[in-house]
Amino acid sequence: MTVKMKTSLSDDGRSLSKRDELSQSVRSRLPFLLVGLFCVAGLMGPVAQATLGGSPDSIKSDRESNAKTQARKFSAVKTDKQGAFEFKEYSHASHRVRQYYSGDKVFAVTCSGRTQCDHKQLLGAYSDEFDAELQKSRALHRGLRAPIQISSEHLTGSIVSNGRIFISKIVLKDAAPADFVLEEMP
Amino acid sequence: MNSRLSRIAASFLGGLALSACSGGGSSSAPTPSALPPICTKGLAAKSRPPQNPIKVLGGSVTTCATAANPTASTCANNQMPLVIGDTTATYYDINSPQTSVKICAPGSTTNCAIIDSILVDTGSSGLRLFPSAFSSAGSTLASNGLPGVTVFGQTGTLYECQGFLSGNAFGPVGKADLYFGGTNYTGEMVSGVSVHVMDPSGANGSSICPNPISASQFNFNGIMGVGLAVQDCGSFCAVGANNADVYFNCTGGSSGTCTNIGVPTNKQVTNPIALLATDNNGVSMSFPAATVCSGDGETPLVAGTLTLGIDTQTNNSTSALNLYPADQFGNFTTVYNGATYGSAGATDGSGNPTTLAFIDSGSNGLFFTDKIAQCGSNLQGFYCPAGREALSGVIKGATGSAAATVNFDVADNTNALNAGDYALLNLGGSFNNPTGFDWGLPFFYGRTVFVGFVNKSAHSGAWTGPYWAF
Repeated sequence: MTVKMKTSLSDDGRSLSKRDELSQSVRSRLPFLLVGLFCVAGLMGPVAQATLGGSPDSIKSDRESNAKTQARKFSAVKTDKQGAFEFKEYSHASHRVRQYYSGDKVFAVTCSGRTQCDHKQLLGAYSDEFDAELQKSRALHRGLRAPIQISSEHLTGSIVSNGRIFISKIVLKDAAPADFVLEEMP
Repeated sequence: MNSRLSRIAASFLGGLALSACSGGGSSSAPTPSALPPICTKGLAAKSRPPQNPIKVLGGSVTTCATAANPTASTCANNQMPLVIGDTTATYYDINSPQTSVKICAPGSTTNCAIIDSILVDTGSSGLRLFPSAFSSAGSTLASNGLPGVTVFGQTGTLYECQGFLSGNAFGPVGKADLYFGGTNYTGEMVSGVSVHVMDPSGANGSSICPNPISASQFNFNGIMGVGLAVQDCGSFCAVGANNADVYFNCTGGSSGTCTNIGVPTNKQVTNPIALLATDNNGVSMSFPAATVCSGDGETPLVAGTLTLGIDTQTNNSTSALNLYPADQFGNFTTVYNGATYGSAGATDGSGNPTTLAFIDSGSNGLFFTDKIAQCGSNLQGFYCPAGREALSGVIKGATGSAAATVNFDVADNTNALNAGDYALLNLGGSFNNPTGFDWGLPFFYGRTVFVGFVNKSAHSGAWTGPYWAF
């Protein structure tokens, strides 16, 4: 599976250490570079976390990052199960965000709320792929409110709305367990 | 094609009248002989008219036809004509009901524009216009000619980012006087309404409102939302701390500095019909069944009516109708193929629905989940069964209403569309995964569907919105 990864705080250490093109001298300075990255990120405010495809802990940092910079009241992150699948969830006044994970990887995200969810935030490294698919689906001339279908190289899912509530369900195909059924996701 | 022609021949041999091809859904038990045949006209593909993204017809449609009165007649003061398809129709216009409105600067009767081709949408609330809509012949009102709405304590002007699945509508909010209905827009008038000018210039690429829609994406000049809600966001957006990312105070225009703010409901973009003096408790949309599917590429226009008010005049009585209340999320219940969607469907544990069921003129097909074969090419995402699929769903109100079985059918509309038909009764599309049932525009053919606004009563006070009735 080839996945284009963007810079992200939760998995930077892992991805940077794998890059062959980094010189040994740079490798030796990696801890300092990472500290620097964290400082810059802190100054810049909220950064899109590696949610889909990332660590299950990313939802916690995602929630904390948003809560620090926004006036909304955020719930604590809770962990629960839907059938056989574990998820982490938080909510605020306008949305509820849920990440399903298996082992150390988030394989599906769902979001529902009064307005469209911030898919860039939710999908992290896959947001560009998602955007391309979104534009393709929107070009099908299905009116203002026909469901958006997502079916790209790595993603499958949908966004639906009746004008009053928006529901997004996106799955990372190759990472989802074999017995995972999209329909079972609230 | 041969097999298709055979099916058509069989349908004729079966004694089914072609004129019945637009019979609309019914609430009786499905029987094959009662279902309308597939639209058979226009099997030979004709070249479509060139795409013309913005139509300006000059308010040429002035008659109103309904399911009960298919012969178009003069519009009453509380009636607005609807059209689906015209000589400039494109794929963008499939099942897209459009009307026209006269808009004036507040207090002026001369600084005005008549704007045609406005999509009538029962799934949103408020009037939204593309800037190019103001360039109609005879218009003396520019898109930036409406005074901007300001919010107490803010120095800038109000902008909005309103989400549609087809993209985000972004631009300034202005105040206007609106005229609709009757002869030459003299029927009803409302003053000082907050309307949305969908001008994404300056917002592209910004984080304020990603993927803004523009006129070039559509073949209409704007959207008139006459849905269940009175405001397009309501009390949720009145609280700044909710940080809803819907309303912004912008200084220096949309490319200047924009800050997410809470906006009092009386300043928000508002369903203009809800502000009328009397006919303000809802609307009804009606299309005659007999004209649907009759187009052969020569007369593709289908006419209908939007009637303002519910039980306020003799032409909007609900005496013989059934009530289907909606819940706070704009859902009722639909059961299809054993799955329950909407208000009686699954929730996320916090009471929020995880599926949807609703009636929506802004969706150009009936969207639901099934294993029916899908189309390719220009109808990708729609169902294209080999023959007609006779189907049914059960509709029930969110609270206290009887269940009704609604019969409908889905067919391959490729040939009809190629022939220039844009009113397609049998158009169904996929939901991809089972998260809802969207009763789109085909549901309106052969019916009069009432939309009751939130907290407004009708039916001698027995009905209070939000609800649908038909």
